[in-house]
Amino acid sequence: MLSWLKKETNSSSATQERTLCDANNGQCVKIKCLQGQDSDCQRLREMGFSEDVEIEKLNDNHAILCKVCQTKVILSRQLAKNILISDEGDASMSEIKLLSELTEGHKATVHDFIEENDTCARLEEMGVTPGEPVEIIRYAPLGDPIEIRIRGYHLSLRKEEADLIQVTL
Amino acid sequence: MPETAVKNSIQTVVLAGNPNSGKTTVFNAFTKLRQKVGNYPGVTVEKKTGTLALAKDRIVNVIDLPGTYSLAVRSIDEQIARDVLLGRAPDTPKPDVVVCILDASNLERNLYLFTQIQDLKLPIVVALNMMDEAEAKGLTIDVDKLSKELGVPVVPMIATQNKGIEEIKQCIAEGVEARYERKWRMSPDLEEDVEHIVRLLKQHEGMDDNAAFSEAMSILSIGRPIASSKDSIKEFYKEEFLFQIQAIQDKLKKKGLRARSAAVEARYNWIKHVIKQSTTTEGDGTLALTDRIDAFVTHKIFGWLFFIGVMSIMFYLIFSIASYPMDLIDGLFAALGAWTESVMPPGILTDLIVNGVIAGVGGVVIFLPQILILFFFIGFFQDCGYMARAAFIMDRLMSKVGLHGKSFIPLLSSYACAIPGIMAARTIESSKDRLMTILVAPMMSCSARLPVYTVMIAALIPEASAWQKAGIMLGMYALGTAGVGVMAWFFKKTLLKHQKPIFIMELPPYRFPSFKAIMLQMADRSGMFLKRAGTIILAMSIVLWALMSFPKHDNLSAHDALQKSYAGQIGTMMEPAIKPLGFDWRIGIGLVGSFAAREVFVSTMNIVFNLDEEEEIESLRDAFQQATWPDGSPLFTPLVCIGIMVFFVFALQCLSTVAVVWRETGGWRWALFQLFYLTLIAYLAALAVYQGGRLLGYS
Ligand SMILES: Nc1nc2c(ncn2[C@@H]2O[C@H](COP(=O)(O)OP(=O)(O)OP(=O)(O)O)[C@@H](O)[C@H]2O)c(=O)[nH]1
Ligand SMILES: [Mg+2]
Repeated sequence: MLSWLKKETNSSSATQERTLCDANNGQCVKIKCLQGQDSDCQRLREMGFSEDVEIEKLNDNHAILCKVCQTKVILSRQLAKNILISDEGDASMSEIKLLSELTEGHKATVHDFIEENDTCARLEEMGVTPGEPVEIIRYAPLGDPIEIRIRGYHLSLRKEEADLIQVTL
Repeated sequence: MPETAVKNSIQTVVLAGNPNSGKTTVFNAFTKLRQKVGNYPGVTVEKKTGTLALAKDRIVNVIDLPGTYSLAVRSIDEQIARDVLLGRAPDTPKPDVVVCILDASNLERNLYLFTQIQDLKLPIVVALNMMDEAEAKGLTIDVDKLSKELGVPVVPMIATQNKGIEEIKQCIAEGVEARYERKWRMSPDLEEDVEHIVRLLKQHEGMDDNAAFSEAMSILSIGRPIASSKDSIKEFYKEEFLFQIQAIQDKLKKKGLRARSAAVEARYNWIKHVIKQSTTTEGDGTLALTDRIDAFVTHKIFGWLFFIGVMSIMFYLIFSIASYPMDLIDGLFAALGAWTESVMPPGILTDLIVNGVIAGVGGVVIFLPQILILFFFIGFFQDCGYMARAAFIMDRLMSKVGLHGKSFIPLLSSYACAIPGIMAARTIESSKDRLMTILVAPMMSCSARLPVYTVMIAALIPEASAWQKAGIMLGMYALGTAGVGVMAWFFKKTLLKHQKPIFIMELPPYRFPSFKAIMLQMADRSGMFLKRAGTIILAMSIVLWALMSFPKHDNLSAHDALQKSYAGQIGTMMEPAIKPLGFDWRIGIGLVGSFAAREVFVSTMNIVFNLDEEEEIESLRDAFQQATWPDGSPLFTPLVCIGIMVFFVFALQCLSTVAVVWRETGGWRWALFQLFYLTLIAYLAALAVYQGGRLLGYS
């Protein structure tokens, strides 16, 4: 059991680097660093996308529309993938919600558990650990269970379980 | 005048700044010229020169440059701007004064380029443009403080209302000196290394202070060993020097200093400080209306509906409103023809004037109203700020075929005319993407095809409603656009393999279009259209009339005489090649003529059927309906009408386009390749329509 968890953890640590593509529409994020070709990075920096700058993602329609230095800028998806973001800096700003409050397709990061009990320990064992990105795949017709994606695999949670998990957007 | 006085006085004023900051608006105000202004980045792609009268007898040259975000250039238009600023452009003198135009509502980003220009130690005047928008955003700028912080004169300005223009003229006339001392600083270690490189550059390359400094900065920010860089630097420098720089770069890497971003960050830090000192913001600094409109027009679904809706309305208006003035012009030319015939003695000259000139030129001029409406819409799009939004929603579709959002603006401009579209491709950074855009751009239906489509649609469905006509027209435009997609995809897979395209573009705020500017542009455009009608189309009409009227065969019927004429002989010779498309020799004559200019097809058809019929023809449409093959079967069947339109969608029948592609791609190879492949596609597509349609049982 532990061995697969380890493997999954490895592969997910690569995806843990969140890029501008992964941010939600309307979310304010901070740029952690830029990667990719130097000349591309240089132009991004010159347009105001430098490290530690806060940007707001406005719309995602393959190309990405965001606001930087009070200007709206369109970036192609490839370029947006070169912008690594962090929302730790503004975790205080982004609100904490329960996983069960999110709607289908939403992405969030696990923040903490509401209480310490066996269910939580078991969830933690399944890979639902703080700092891990999660995505709601779908709700079953009656709202229970909830299918989520975490660490690259799908997990079915009951509503009571999802109620225990705090997430940040 | 004593020589020193000439030397000291200013002769060349250069307008530089970020894209869309209002440079051309200022240029037009200075020079009273009418260069193109539009509300999207990348309108100007060439340097333009004009003259400005500073005082009664003091005339200076003004140069308008393409906009750029930085002197570290990435595309051709930016390179033009940099070369002029650095005094490297061969045909342009080094600037005596730079008017740096800043968008006051977006100072932070705009000041970045300013700091770079300042490093060149040129005399600078800052024009703080768009003060009205800064105010609307809740920004208050203390101009005196800003001027003190920047160390240069600052003139607040609203260029669209001509505010601040006189002040800045005065400022230039009084003379500006370049006092400058770099105020932004990087970390001490880096500063030391920059100094080191500057020393090396001065020593090895004999550069002066400024040039060496900017070169050193770019060496650091490019961040890779120069020896392996693609830039031409390698050819510039000596081996030993490259070696030393490599050592410095390695040292920086070991220390873990962020050398690449250091300069940018240092500049921005200084800019933030300046802005803090000189501006205050009330409110959240956003334009609420722009945001609300954007939420709608960039929406995944509504954005598309909006785009298609606007296009449909445009085509509807082209057919509905335009039909009244078109009938009027048609009537005028008919009356003119009848009057000429009545007052002039019958003979060759009358025949030339009535059947050649009036029928030929008149047949084209009547499309002026449609072209005006098309240009009104295109002008409106370009001026209100919608272009960049459309590029955003198009990116998903375009990336599927290997194009990207930035190609959208050149392609959309090609709906007006392929030539400005091909020029606009200069803003595309990657040379392969640019070439691909140039190669496919002529498939976007330009205004010269409008007359052909209109005539053929009328022949196809004589009693069509305006909505039906608009629908078919939209279909033709869509077909050309689809051709762009398919060919782009094909080129991407074969000739122009390339990594994933990357693009970044600024969205300007919506601005109320200046109707005066749109009207002026429409006037310019219709002037050009009429000039074409008066020159190339007139000349072609006369030539074709002559070819169709001679040699004279008095004893034959009109139809046979036409067929025996020179043009008729050419057409008959072509007939075997075009018969598979369902075209006869008369259409063949039209096709030959249309390679001079597309509209000539319409004028030629007018002449053909004026000469062909014994009777005066009522309209081209009726003549088309009556035209038959020798065996009596109708010539202009629906399939033939569609085939002609499809042929015109793809064929590159425009010499000026070939010439521009020749110039822009720097050789005849791509230009001729494009001419060849587009003609081939046009032929095959028309063939497919006719033969495919017949197989399916249509006629
Ligand atoms: N509100 C406002 N709009 C302005 C002002 N000056 C220019 N504009 C508008 O800004 C837009 C851009 O102006 P241009 O003169 O084409 O800008 P440019 O700097 O030449 O742009 P590029 O050629 O693309 O680099 C146009 O829509 C102008 O009407 C101003 O002072 N206030
Ligand atoms: Mg311009």
